[in-house]
Amino acid sequence: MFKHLFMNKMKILLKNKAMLFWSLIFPFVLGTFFQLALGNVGEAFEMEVIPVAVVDNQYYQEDKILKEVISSLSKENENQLFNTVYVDESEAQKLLDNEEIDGYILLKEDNNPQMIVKTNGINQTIIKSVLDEYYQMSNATTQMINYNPEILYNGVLETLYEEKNYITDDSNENIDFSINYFFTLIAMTCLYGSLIGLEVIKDCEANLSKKGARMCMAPVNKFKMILAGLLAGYVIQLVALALLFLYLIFVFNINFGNQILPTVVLAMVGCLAGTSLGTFVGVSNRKSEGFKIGILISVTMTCCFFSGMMGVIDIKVFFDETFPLLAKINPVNIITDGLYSLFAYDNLDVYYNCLARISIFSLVLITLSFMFIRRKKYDSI
Amino acid sequence: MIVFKNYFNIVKRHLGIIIMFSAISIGVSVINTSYTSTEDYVSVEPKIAVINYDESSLSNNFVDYITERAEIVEVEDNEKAIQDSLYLNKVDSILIIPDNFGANLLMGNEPNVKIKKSTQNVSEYTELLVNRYFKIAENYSKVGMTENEIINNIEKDIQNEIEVKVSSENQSDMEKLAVYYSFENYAFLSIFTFIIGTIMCIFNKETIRKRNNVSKLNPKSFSNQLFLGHMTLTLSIWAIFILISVILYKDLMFTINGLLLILNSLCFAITATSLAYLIGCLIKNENVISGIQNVISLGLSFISGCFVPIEWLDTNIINFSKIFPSYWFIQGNYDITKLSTFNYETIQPVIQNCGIILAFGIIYFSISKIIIAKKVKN
Amino acid sequence: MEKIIEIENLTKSYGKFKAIDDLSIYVEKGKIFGLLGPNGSGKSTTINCILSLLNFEKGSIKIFGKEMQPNCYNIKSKIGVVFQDVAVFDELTVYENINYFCGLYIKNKKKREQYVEDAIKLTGLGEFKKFRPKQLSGGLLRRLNIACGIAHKPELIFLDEPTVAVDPQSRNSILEGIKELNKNGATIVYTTHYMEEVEQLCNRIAILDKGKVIALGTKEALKELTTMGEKITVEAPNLKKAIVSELKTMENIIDVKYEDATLFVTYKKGEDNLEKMISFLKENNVKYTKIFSELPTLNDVFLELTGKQLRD
Repeated sequence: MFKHLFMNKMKILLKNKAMLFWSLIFPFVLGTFFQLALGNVGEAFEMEVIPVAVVDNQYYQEDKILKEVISSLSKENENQLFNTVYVDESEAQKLLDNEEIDGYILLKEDNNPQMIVKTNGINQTIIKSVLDEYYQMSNATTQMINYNPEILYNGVLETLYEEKNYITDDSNENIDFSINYFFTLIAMTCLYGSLIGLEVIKDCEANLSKKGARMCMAPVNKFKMILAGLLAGYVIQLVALALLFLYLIFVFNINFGNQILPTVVLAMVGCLAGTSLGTFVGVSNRKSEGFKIGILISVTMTCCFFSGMMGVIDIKVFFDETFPLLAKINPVNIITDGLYSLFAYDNLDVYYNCLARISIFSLVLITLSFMFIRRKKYDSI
Repeated sequence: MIVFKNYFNIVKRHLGIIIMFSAISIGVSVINTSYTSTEDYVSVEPKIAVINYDESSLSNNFVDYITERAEIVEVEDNEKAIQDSLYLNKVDSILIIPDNFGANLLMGNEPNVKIKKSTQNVSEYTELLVNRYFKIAENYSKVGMTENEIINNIEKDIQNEIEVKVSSENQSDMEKLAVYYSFENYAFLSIFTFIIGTIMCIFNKETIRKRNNVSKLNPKSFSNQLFLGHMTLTLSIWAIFILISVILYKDLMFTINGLLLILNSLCFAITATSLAYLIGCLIKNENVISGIQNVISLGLSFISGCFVPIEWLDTNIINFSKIFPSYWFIQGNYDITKLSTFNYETIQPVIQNCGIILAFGIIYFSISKIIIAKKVKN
Repeated sequence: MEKIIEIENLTKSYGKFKAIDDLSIYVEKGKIFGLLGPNGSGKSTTINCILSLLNFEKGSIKIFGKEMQPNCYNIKSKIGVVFQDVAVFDELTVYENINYFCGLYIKNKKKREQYVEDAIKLTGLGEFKKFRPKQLSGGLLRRLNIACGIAHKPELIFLDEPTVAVDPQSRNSILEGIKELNKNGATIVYTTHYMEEVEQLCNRIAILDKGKVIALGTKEALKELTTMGEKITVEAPNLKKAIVSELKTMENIIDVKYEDATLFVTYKKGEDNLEKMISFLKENNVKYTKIFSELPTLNDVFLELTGKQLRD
């Protein structure tokens, strides 16, 4: 009997287009969008050539070294930093207003250079930093010569303008918040198991559908019936999730870390959380099916929003810090954090914490659902 | 106008869910705006954490130096906290000064500071600041200065900064406004597709459509009244979004930038309505609405720079996203907030951009007209 | 005769609304029992209570001599139910649907195959085995709905308005099928608001209104309940008012109505009502194109007992 129920439910669910869309198609499509949007991260920040203007006045002409620096930075080669035009002040201001340049350099009689920009931004910061470097270095040179004039002859000065590196990169590999999008995607897919749970439970309760009434009349234990149905749905959801993992790992080279077993366990419990959520929403009230589906989708997407799926990760940080309790019970956030901990830490403390929380989440919903399912007769159908 | 009137009877029935959806979207976009950092991807003042194991005068002075030029974030000195702060983008990079760094530098041992950063963060500006400080320090030590002399002299040097004049103000708030308005891309596409799709399904139900078809009601007038109904509803929602932005950013909204933003978003609201209407004409089954709603709204938001900065996108994707109004709308928002001088040359591109957005709307509307005409024939 | 279902003093309310009010009926083995009543009279609620799907406040229900409970699987396995609304899986074909529901009762695969074929034959769905429910017309869908409910050859079958919104052809096929099931030994409880069906099928009938049994018995016994003997209809244009008034004074007549050039006369029971009418018309020189007499229907019984029509 269990096999009969299980196999047929499998067949029925696999032909349900709406379920397949949410469990399989939608996560794939969204994952592809993520990859499209994020695939270029890191490469996008190659230095651009920055358009600047220099006010070509008498003071500028007198500052030979600055002239030299600017012209060498503006030379058309691989290291070109500036695209410089030499104009008078009013022309420079006009160029700036029309956003043809990011800023201009103006020298005045006191020899204090000025940089005029419209907004703060990375290009403006670079211009400033290059000019700062020039003025600070020439100042340092002066101080050094004053302190020890001999250096004019012993070569120390020559090294001053050489590039020198005092930094070693000690970054752990792959710390990359863009992977958070894919964690939330996995979590979202787990939660979409709720739609399958909803679909299954609808056909097992007499007060939810006519099919449910018919099923209740069969000489089959109700729990056996529900268990077989939910198990079929759960298996389908797990397969869908496995396919998503494979797609992300092999097509997009997304790295989920090397701890395969804990990842699989988390995904399985995550799917359980989804299925039990759907069961609970399905069994706890008699609103229309469309309404319940709408609720489940909006709840899932809102949970995703607060886990950082839309926009940048700051939303997650904000939510984690402002509503720590809600963040701790947000199932999408729990799964997301769990996946992250596997990926980022060597020890499993945080992982076990997440696993416990998502298990409790599922357990509570299963218990609540059970209280509704346990009832054998209905007040109205 | 019987259809138009009846339209609002149906809307009344679904008012609860419409209000709920709109409220969620507005709430989410306000939160999104408030807690999205508006600085560029590499911030103007980089967010740095410094872990100093050295505690020599030189390294302490270095920390003071970097504190003046960067936003210092406290991060606990353990692996987990370091990982988390990088992953959650709380810091751009973390500098670790090893034990005896100062002494080693003065002895000419060429020690190194360690940097930890996340993969997608560029820390060039931070590295520049670090290298400059230690280069000068090392050179000073080479000419024979003592630690204290070095510190004093470097302080003099680094005060020597170029003077910067910023001609336009309020920039970061303006950019927040752009974020708020750009989020409308997601909110409008999501709400409009859902509402219009649901209502169209009601009107398009086989039996009702047949009844309408046999009545003396002209099918063209029917669809026009329906569209008018949609427009009234969506523009009311649009007005609420505008109202919220005016409440939140009073000072900024009563500027020319603010007015242009409103104009831009009006054009987009109209176009989003047309797009939702077109989708509504195509779908036959209520169950597919949420699917289409989510794919369209999330998809267009990701590839048009609503959720992630447009700089992250590959040029091919950007080119692809240009065939959707979302790209033009979001670009328009950022262009508008950058404007500080207003003359024909600066405003003309904005207006042109609005025209492009509306053109999409007209195309969508025309296609739906064709589809309706075909349906009537059948 | 063995009583398969015994209901005593059943009472069920939805909030303040009393859906069933102190209802007592029994169903004998091998019979077709009809529950007749207008929409909302409590037919479906009664069935759902019998099936132990609904809670009820008072009363007792016994099926096969035992108190029915949701976990009485051995009782359930002997019951087949066809609900008012079609309850089949859109994702499965006609054959798969019947096989699925049958499989909840019959574990033996070979036996099941035979049962499914029998059900398909009985409902005349042979050509449509591989069709999906969405591809079926309303009538065929109803037949599928029935097939799913009776494929396991139950001893007791509940049919809740199985012919609502069905074309005449399908309706006949459904009614024939039900007769056949009964012939094969099944006891049937049949609810409907079509009195013709009840008259055609049922051995015993209960008429329900507002949750109460207002009449119970064989159809002949029920018809005895009415004082009306027959209804005579005369198509006679241009009838004078005086004649209509005169008719009203005649003996054995309950009511006279003249509408749209047609005369309706309701008689009490009597041997020669039609004869008397014809001679009366002759005496008064009334020209008529058509005259006929009808015996009372269950609708007339219902009308007399409640003062309203069975159908709205």
